[in-house]
Amino acid sequence: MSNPTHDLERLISRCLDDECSPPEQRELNARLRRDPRAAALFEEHAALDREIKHALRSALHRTPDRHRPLPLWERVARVAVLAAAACLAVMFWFTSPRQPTTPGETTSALAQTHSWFAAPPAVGDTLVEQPERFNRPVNWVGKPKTDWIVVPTDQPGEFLVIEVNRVLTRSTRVRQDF
Amino acid sequence: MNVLTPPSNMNRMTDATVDAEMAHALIAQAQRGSRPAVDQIVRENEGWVRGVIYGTIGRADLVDDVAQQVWTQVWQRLGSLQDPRRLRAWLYAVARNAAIDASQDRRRRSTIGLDFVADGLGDNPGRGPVKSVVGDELRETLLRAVEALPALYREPFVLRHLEDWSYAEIGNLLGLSVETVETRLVRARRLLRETLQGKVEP
Repeated sequence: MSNPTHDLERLISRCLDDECSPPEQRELNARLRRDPRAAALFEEHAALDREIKHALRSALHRTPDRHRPLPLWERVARVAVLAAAACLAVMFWFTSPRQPTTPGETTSALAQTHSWFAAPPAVGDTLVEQPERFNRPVNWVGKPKTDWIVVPTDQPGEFLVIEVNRVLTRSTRVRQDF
Repeated sequence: MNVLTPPSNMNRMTDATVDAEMAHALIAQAQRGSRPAVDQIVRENEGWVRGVIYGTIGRADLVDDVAQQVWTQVWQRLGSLQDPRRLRAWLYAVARNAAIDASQDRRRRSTIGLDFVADGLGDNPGRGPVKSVVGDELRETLLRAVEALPALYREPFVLRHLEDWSYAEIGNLLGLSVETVETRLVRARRLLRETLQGKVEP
C-alpha cells in the first residue's frame, strides 16, 4: 500500500526537478490548494532545494544559478538600455562634423572639421586600395637545370652558346607575410 | 505516458548528431595532443566532474585537489579512450576512482575524517535548535547535511543540483534507471528535510 505522504513527496520532487508532466503539475497544484500541509511541505522542499543549490554552487566555485532565466523586467530593461545607447550613437553620428567632400576645400577647413569617425584625408596621389589578402608566391629552389641556346654566327662552324642555368620553381602559399 | 517527449524530436536528433560529431572531432584532436582541444574538453566537463568528485567523497575542501589529479590523468590517458562516445562514462570512471583513492588516502593518513563525522549534523548538542541561520553559517550547515547523506543518494543529488541534469542524464552516467534516480532523489530530499528541519525558512 502506498504512503500518501511519500506519493506527495515524489510528486513534489519530480516537479522541482522539472520532470513532471502537465497532468502531474495540475494534480500537484490542486493538492497544494486544498491541503495547507501539502503546501507547507512543498514550500519547505522548494526552499531547501533553492538554498542547497546555491550552497553547492558557491562551494564548488560555480555561478550560483547559471541556468536561471532572467526575469521579464530585467530583459526589458536590458533591451531598453541597448536601444537608448544605439539612439545616442546614431544622434552623435549625424551631429558630428563631416569632412569636406569637394577637393576645393582648404586644408585648414579639413583640420577644423575633421571627425574622429571620418576616414583620414588622402595625401598626395590617388591611393589604390590593396586587396586585403593576397598570396605571395615563394620560390623554392629545387634541382637546377641547365639549358643551352645555340646561335650560329657569321663564320661557318662557329656558334654562340648561351648557357642558361634555370631553376625549377614552384609556388606555395605562405601563412605569414615576411 | 512519456512526459519528457520534446516538442521537436527531429530537431533534437539532428542537434544531437551534430554535437556527437563535434565531440568526436574534438576528442580526436585532443588525442593527437592538441592542447586547445584538451582545454575545451576540460571546460565542457569540469562542472559535473567536480560534482562527481564531491558526490563521491562528500568533502568540498578536497574537490580542487582531486579534480587536478583527474585532469592530469585524463591528459595522460586520453589516448586509451577507444570510443569517443564513451567520453562521459570514461571521465566518470576516472573521477570516481580518483575520488575514492583520495578518500582512502585521507583516511589512512589521519583521523581528520573522524573529527568531521563527529562534528556532523545532529551530533552536536552544543548548537541546539536554530530556526534560521544566515550567510556562511547556513551554507556550511547545508553542505554538512549534503555531505552526511549516503553516497548512494548524494551522487545523483549533487549532479541534479549542481548541473541541473535530467533524470535520464544522471541515470546514463551512473548506470541507473530513471526510476532509481527518481527514488534516490526523493529519499535524499526526505533525509535532508529531516536533518535540516527548521533550519531553512520557506
